[in-house]
Amino acid sequence: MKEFLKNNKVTYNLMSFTGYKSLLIFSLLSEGPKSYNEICDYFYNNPYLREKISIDTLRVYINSLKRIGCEIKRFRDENKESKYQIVEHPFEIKLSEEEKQSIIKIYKNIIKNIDINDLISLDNLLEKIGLYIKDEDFKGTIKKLSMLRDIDKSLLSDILDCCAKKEQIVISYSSPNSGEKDIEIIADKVDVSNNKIYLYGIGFEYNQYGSFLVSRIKQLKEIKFNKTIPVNIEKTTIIYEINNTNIEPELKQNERILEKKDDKVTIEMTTSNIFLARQRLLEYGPQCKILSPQDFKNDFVKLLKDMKAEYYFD
Amino acid sequence: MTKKLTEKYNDSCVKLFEFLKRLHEKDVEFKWVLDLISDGKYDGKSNTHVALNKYLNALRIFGIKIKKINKKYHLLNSPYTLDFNLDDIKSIQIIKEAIAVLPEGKIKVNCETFVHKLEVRYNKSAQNTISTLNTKNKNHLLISQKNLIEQIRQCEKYCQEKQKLEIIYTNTKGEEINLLCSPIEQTCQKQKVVLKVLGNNGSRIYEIPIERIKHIKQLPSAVSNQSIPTTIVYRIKNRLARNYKLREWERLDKIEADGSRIIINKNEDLDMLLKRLMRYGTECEICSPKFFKEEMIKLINETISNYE
Repeated sequence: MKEFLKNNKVTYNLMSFTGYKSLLIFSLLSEGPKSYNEICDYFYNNPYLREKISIDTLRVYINSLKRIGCEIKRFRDENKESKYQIVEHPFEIKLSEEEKQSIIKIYKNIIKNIDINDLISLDNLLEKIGLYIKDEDFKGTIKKLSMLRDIDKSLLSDILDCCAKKEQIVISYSSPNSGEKDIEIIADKVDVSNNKIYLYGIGFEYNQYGSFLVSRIKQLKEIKFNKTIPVNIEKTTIIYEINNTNIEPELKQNERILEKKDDKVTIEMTTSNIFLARQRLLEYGPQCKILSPQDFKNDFVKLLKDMKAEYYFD
Repeated sequence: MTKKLTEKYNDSCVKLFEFLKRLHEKDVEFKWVLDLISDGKYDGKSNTHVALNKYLNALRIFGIKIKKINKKYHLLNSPYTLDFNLDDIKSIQIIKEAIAVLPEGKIKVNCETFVHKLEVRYNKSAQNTISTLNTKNKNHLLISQKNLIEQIRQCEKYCQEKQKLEIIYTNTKGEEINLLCSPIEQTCQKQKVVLKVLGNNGSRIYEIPIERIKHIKQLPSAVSNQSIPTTIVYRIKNRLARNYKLREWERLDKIEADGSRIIINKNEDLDMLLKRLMRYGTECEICSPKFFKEEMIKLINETISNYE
């Protein structure tokens, strides 16, 4: 071997030429169909061999490969030339049932813990593995668990690109309330909430920041060349406090802490979407008290009373 | 098939591929290879070692890397390669990061074996990619609590061992809670690892963020398979009913004439569920059980009292 490394010449004393030739034949036939002449040419041009191979010797190698578990097909191509191809061999990926279950388990752990770009890549990888191991059940289980199961991944990648560039886009959206329609928005971010993937951005229809379920986006119809600066966006500043908390509140992009005192935190939220703001504050329950504005506070209390009435109505 | 195997074959070729096959399954002991080459007749005097060196050189010159560690041969790449792109390699890195957090056990071993099976089949471009990636290594997992890895590993072990637990943790109000429970699984919520357990009394599910756990004691009694988490039934209406996407642990019971939907929910932390249902405002109403309906009313009343 040292000799080989020095002068790049291989002698019969150094390596098993039979072994080397069998590896070459395995490699050539697993790449795709090869004729005897093609194999001969390859051998002749190989820097370590520089010789052809007889058809009888080739048959012996093929028999040997079959013996170790390769399935080798011989057929005539459209030019009536005989070709050989390895269609199955022992080095393909095989996963035991236990291994598959462990992969599914770790996949479940990972998906809630990575960003959307990584999620797309991971799903693509496991889809590829499913193909390699020729297991439809494995592919099906992963698909069933995936947050991307009813989402066009290439469309999602395009949307992510648009968010990165804060593009002004037109999407075709299948709204459960008003059917399929075009919506123009300035794409901001894609995020996961309650295991669902949403596109966030400023919508031109209502002039407010909103969220759109990605699985309802049918098409990215247009990326506008010139961005329109949205005007007349009505923003509301809500001030609220969180009581009895020993945990640092997780602030949203549109929030900032005004004051921290004992176990009380005062937060300011600026929003153009009252619906989303109300949902966020409802979730806090009695831990949250809205301080201002008064009309938002009044509407909030009315909503709570309506919620209560639902339970006493029966 | 019998006919084919009686045809003339090359013994060296078969032996070299048998060695390779074995290497794909696991690390191969030096003695096993010597026995293979000498047909089980290794006596220490024959030219078995010479033959083995020739095989190893043939494999090396062909481009197959094999490392010998502690009298065992370890395969670094396969003659059969698969095409993995940059994104695939990153995903494999993510899987490796997740494996690192797993406790010792079958799942960890199986996942490591899976990753090894992929890595030995990297094609040239994948091998080049991995060498560049290593220099720019970053953590992909969003778990913000890297300092809790040992605790995460320990909790995963508790989930696998299926013994009852006594947990002391602090709730969001800072109160210390002592809970007897059965571990179910570890999961992630809002980038935080939570331990999902089933309470001993009332069959209530709890999802406790690992960071809030102060103490865990494993009890000698095994988890009972007969405990069933409480089933919650609720009605969703209007826009929410049209938009609602069922969770993994939910099912649609029926659709009413007015379009409202009855949802059956099992296996969710009831405090978390209450918070979620609060978000839905008047578009959601809890139907049963009675205690949960009363908890919701109490929650609404307490919130209203903030403004009185």
